[in-house]
Amino acid sequence: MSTKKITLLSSDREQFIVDEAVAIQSQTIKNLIEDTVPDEDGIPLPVVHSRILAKVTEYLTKHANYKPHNDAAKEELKNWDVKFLGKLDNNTLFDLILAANYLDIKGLLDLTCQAVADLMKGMSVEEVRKLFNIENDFTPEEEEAVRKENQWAFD
Amino acid sequence: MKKRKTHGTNKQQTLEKKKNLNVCVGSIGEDIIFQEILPRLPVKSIFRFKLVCKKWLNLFTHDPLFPKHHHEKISRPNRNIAASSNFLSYGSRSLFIFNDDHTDQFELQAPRFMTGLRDQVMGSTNGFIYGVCSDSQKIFICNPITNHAVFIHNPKKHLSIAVACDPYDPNFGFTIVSHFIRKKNDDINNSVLQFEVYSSKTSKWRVSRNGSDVPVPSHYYSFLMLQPVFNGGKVFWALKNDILWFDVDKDVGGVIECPDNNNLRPRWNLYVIDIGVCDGDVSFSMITKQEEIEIWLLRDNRNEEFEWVKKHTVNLQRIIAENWNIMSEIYSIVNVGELHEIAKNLAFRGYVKTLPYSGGEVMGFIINITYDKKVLFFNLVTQELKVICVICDYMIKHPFRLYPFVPTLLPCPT
Repeated sequence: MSTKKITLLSSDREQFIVDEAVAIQSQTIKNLIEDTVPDEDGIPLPVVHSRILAKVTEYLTKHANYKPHNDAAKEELKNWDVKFLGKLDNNTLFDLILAANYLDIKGLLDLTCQAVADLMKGMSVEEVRKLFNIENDFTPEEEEAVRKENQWAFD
Repeated sequence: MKKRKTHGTNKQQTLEKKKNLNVCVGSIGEDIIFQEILPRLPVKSIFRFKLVCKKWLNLFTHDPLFPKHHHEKISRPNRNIAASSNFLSYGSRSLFIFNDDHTDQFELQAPRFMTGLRDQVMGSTNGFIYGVCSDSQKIFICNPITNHAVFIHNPKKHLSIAVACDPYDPNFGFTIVSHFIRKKNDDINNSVLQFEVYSSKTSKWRVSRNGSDVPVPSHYYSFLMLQPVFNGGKVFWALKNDILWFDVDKDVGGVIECPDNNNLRPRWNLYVIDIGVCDGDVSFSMITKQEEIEIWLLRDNRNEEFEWVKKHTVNLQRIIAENWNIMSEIYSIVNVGELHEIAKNLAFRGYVKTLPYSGGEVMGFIINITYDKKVLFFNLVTQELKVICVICDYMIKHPFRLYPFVPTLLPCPT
């Protein structure tokens, strides 16, 4: 495995030095390495704050160095992911989704989006509106009609 | 490795936490929410969240791509995320859908054509259930979530059918396979098994060309409604000592001997063994003479050569002994001796039934010693036993038939 180091630069210009193999799990970073001449401070990632980039590199480092070959190793990695998610508050989780989407890291995007879905699945409609800051645009009559039609989902 | 700035003080952190309470996620684009988050929700939540706003209602109800996204995310979950085992059971008026983690249980009204009829759901595949209508003249394929069904004529009144249908196939259609005995020259000792196939592409039934020298397995009766599964282009049925298979594309079928046949617990009926699908292999669950649950996988090298691999062995007596509290509570048994007595002969008395194993950490089974049916899930990793649902008698017509079922929003194949 290549031990070439890559420097990533967060939006608040904090440097993160990681192995190339770690960094190129992000398709976006891989493209940036191939297509652009990095400035001397590193590869600028202008939409990812250091608070989030720290989390992203933590995830990438674990997943780059850990290619599970058997059930036990898969299990260990899964448990690590669960712990990783457990430490995040909602804001960080949503910021991570944005970062994973921008950096094009499929595994992280899957993981974080699934976490939001898991968070949502037991919520009431009102709680979901609050979570995504969505305004209720139904009239009371419309609301009643939709509710009636899908009553089983509210039981 | 990383240069770190000093991070926020406690005061700042409390401020941030406060902000979290009325969190605004306007920053996540609608496309991420619509394409990456909402398709990962269980169907019950989706139906509930139709009420969030009109845009969501429209997405869930009218967007033709949403069911596809949803099916992809739900049925092929990220390998790092635990797949849960979903099951469907049905009663006279209801369908009951549940899984091993309590979260997505619900009861649906049975589609109108099913109400009041008996024992007609034959199997499930990719979120569709199928079976033979009670007059045997028609076969139905139905998505119980969307209440959408298609009907296929059944001129030979086949009872034991399997449906092959792969929503990932660009020509998303379906094939129905059934089987019967053909006597060669009217000689009963010279019978072979023949398959009959219906394809949605031709809308016709035809007898398989290549299935003519499949020997008839012991315990085979064409009127038995065998439990079918569809996996990797083949359909499979579980017989008492054999698995019957048919390859839909190659138009060939055959018989595979069940693993560990000599070690099978004597049983009252055929339904005590189970087949399911686990990570692309057919799974086989059985109860041995030692009252152990064995789970086997059928490795299929796609060349009509199969190999059985033992995946798990779980001792029933030990599960019960180690979960005495749970067992005595759910079955209202206070006397240890009584519990041991019951535990001793569970399988022999037909009190225990495995559920199809779909992979992951959890193995399900039913212990049926009272009038209620309790579905138990045993975690193979943590060794923890969970009681997931108590299904009242009226709910289930056939208490020993639970169908692996991943709810989908896809319309039925045509």
